[in-house]
Amino acid sequence: MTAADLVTTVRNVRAGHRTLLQILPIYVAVIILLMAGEAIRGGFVSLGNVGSLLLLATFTAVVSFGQGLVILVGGFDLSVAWTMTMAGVFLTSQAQGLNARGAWVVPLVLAAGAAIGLVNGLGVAIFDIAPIVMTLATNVVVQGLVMTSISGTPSGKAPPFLVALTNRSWGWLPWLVVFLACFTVLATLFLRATPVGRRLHVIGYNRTVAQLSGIPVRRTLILAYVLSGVCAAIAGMLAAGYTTTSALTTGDSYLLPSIAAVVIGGASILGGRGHYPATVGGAIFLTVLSAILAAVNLSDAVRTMITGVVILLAVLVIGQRERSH
Amino acid sequence: MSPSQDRAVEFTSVSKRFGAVAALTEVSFGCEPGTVHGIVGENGAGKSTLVKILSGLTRPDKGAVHVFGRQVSGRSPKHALAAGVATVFQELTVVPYLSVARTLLLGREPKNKLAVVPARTANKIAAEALAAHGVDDVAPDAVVTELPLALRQKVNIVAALMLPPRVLVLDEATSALGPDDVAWLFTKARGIADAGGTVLVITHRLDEIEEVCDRVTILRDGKVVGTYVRAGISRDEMVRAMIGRSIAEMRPRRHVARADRPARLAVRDLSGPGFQGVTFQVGAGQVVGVAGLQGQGQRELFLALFGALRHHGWIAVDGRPVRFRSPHAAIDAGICLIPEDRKTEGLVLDLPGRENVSLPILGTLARFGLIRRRAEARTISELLDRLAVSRTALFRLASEFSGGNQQKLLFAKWLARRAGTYLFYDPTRGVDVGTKEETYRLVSELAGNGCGVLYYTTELDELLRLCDPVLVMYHGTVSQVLRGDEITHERVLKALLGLAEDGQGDGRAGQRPASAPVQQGSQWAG
Amino acid sequence: MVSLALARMRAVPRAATARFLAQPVTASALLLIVACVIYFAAQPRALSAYGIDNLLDEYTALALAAVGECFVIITGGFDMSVGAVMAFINVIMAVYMGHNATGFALLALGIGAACGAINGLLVTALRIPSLIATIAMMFVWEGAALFILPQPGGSVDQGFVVTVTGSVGQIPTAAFILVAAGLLGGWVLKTRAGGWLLAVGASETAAHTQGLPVRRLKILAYLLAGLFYGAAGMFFTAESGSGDPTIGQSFLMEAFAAVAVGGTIFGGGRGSAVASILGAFITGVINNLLQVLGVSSFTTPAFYGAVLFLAVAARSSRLHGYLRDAAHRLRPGSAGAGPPRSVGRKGTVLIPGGGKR
Repeated sequence: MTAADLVTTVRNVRAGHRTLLQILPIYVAVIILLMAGEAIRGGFVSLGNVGSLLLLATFTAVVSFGQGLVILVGGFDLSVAWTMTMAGVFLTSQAQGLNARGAWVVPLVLAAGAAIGLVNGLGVAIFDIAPIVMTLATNVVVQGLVMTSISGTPSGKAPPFLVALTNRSWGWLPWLVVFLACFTVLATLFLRATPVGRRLHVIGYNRTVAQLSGIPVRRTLILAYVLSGVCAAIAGMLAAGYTTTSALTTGDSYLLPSIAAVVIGGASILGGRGHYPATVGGAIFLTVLSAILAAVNLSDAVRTMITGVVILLAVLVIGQRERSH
Repeated sequence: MSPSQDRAVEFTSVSKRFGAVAALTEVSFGCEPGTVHGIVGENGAGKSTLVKILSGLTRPDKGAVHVFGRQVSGRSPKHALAAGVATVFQELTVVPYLSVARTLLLGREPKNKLAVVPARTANKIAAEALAAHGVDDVAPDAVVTELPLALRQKVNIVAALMLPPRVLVLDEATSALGPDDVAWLFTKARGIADAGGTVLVITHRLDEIEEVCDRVTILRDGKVVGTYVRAGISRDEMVRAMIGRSIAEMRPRRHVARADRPARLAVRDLSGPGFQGVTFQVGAGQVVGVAGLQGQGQRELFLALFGALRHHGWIAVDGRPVRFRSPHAAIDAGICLIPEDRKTEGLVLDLPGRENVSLPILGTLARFGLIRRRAEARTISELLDRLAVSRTALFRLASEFSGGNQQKLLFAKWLARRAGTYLFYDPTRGVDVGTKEETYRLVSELAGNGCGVLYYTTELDELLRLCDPVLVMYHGTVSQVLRGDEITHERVLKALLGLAEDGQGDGRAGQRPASAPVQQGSQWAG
Repeated sequence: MVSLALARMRAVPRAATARFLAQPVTASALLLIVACVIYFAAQPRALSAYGIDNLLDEYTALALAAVGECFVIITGGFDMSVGAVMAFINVIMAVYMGHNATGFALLALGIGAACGAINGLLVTALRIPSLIATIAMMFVWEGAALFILPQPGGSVDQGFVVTVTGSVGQIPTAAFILVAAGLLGGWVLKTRAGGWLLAVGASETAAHTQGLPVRRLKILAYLLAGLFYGAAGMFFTAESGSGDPTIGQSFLMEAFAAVAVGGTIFGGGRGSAVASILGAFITGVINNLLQVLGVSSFTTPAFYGAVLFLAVAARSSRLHGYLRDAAHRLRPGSAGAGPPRSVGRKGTVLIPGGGKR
């Protein structure tokens, strides 16, 4: 971008106001949560702790980008669950803890994620199958394929470079958080400043207008699902890198948070509206929330219940609500 | 002043804003029982907001509406219906998948001893109601959304008549109807008024006001200009009240095709769902008109020409034969369509003007994958200036603009493409006189620059003024082509009804071809 | 013109037969019969009284849950709390029931209805999108279930178990329950209110404009759903004989699948309670069939997903359009373009399914 472009950007501040107003609330909520955390356990808001919270939030944030894309165009992706698990499981079992192998396993896993997304996209765009049903089916199929191929037991180790990326830090700043920041910038640029991003938004707002404006709707829809699959794969590999080994329950525990992060971040569940920085805020919010709940000595049961109530409150305050009748 | 029990409908200081736009300001007037009361105004004058408040769909910010002393505003559609207000809307709000019978009886279905709705009884009641109101071309078990537009509208009208209404509100209800059906509707309206009921006719068509209304209230810019006895006001006075000035004399300015260039658009034996065997040419610099009553295949033709519907036949753009299966491809080939409904087909109201207008040219505005903001702003500002739209449109949401300005945004969107062929589908529908003049100027300018224009409109005056030749569509084919001196009001009207010049023809005016169910899937391209 | 008229006439009878076959109940019934035939062929023992009794016991809970979920989906929403509500009811019964079977059976229905009502209020009064509202409530009920019974356990009154999973004469009780559920669910959708539920799902705006009480109808849908979840939880308790706070997740996915296979369209406006029951059994029979065929439990989900996909794709009207196109092209001398048809104006989305999920 040239300097003149920057000037134009600054001149768009009036429009930017609107965007900021939509992104700010969730971060305010995060800060409130952090303060609550500090009150409950001193030292909560230390650089080290915040750093590791942001690190943990990265996995959700990455999946939520893909999920957010699909929600943007009016669907849901339930298959991120087993796509993530697939990614972790295949990464570890094929890479076997070697960087050399990792070099070709990683692209392969990404391709697998894209393929899953492609199947979803075709089902939704070509056959007009309801996204929730299509991705549900794909999720379960991937589950079957993965479980069969590893006979129910995940094995192996993630390649060292991934383990390093997800575990090392510069002092208090984990490398993965830097990754998150870069990812956020790129993702936001994609959504806001590229033709494809604009087209995705238009499709989400009004599909008829999109088609009559010459947007290749089917192709773009499929792209959204493909990207969702890729993001889930990335997140799955990162998660496996973090724990070095893979697990079968990884993906399932990220499915609902990925949807919640998008909605709490202010995206409209009907599509069209949404800002990725706010989704990242939603992911951070959920991560901080579960950290706080873990710090307080409550049983699993109560923690789960509180999570539910907090999500409701967050949506009430921040999220987009349905039109009234 | 308490609302009078005798007044059928009383609007008292009704005001409503949408964001920065004041849709209605202190609107006060009344309608007497036993009259047909017209409400006229250009688009943006506030007519549809008024209707929505009367029917309980929207709440006024200030003021109230009373029906025979009972307040109906600020509550729900149920209350309006309970007060006897039945509305036939401009946007056909039918519930998909329901049969005609269930649509007519929605909310008051019959039930048997098991509390189940018996299909046969429902159908019988529906059939009787349809017959009683003189509608004989609709079957009670047909699915409403599969019916052609005009029949759907008639079902809507009968549903309203079945209330039975003390106040019948017709909101641009004739837009989908042919002359026969309009006459039928107005007879019904007259009947209701003569029996003591009240009919509100909301329209921007002055000939309808003249035909059926006893009194007329004129709105301009959200305010009441005045309420008059219809017989005591002339058409010119009405127009002046509606727009605040006299309109310019309409002189026909026809354009002649340039002989030195290949035809912008040439079509041979084109067929698709709803039309067949269409053959015509649009020369460079020519404005070819299309006329037709609703549902004669012209909408399908336009959609097919834009690649949005599957079609068979031969199409050539600028002399080169083309095949396209999506609007995307059509646009690449140099064809642009300005669709009829700017709010649901043309613009995304929730996006700022800039993003709406730059949509078709995003590819050219991008470098290294990113959109160049400065270039975008520059290009769009130029277009906005050309169309006399304020530059604030760059940042303001499209929904914040009046209908006329929205239409101009839509034009800007497609002008950016600098295409060779423009398809206009009813561009002046629900648009104020000022914007209409702008539209004609734009069309002339395009033609002057050598573009080809295919122009469909339901306003005969426009055809006479702008177009030569005029293709008349009837039952899915181009039944007549009128050129030069043949293009007269009378000839076109006759052709619309399927009559040749000498009055011969099957004369099944107002009747629609029997419908087969709308099919999804195969014919939708892209 | 003559050939077009003929083509039009030929189209009509096919449309009628096609429409009959496309009815959710008919299509699902056929699918179920086919699935059963294959299953009984592979496992003749299943065709015994004992076998059928087992089959019914295995999947009645799912069928009841599917009926409940169906009501919500018909109105255009999603209820993600179905499994969690069932788990909640299950643990309550397993821990507190003692010998008060009847009382707790009624309590189950009551709790289910209450959970449903809460969902309904969240969605209508607080205007929270149904997906998120029910996800949040899912957390709440799941947590509550864990709170009451952290580990699977508890005990269920034997008399209760025997009554519910036993038989009346030769016929298993489950069969009566299913028939009752089918009749009830089917009846509801045929009443005025039921028709209004479908209308709300088809187009909330239009329904509202026509004066239907949209909010109250939505609450009704969630309430009915909760009622059926209560029945499902109750039956599951009897069938499993103990409490398990973690059964929620699997029931959720299976309930959605059952509804989808049954032919209810996600997005609202069209659906059938009876078909959802059939859908539950189709998925159940296929599950059992795969077991009998020796398919490892690892691979079963893959087939499950494939069946789900096929069942839904087969109903895709887009697909039918493509097939019809191909058939037209293959028939010699056809006009290709087909008879002239009018196309709806407003409300016709050029790519079907726009905005709905």
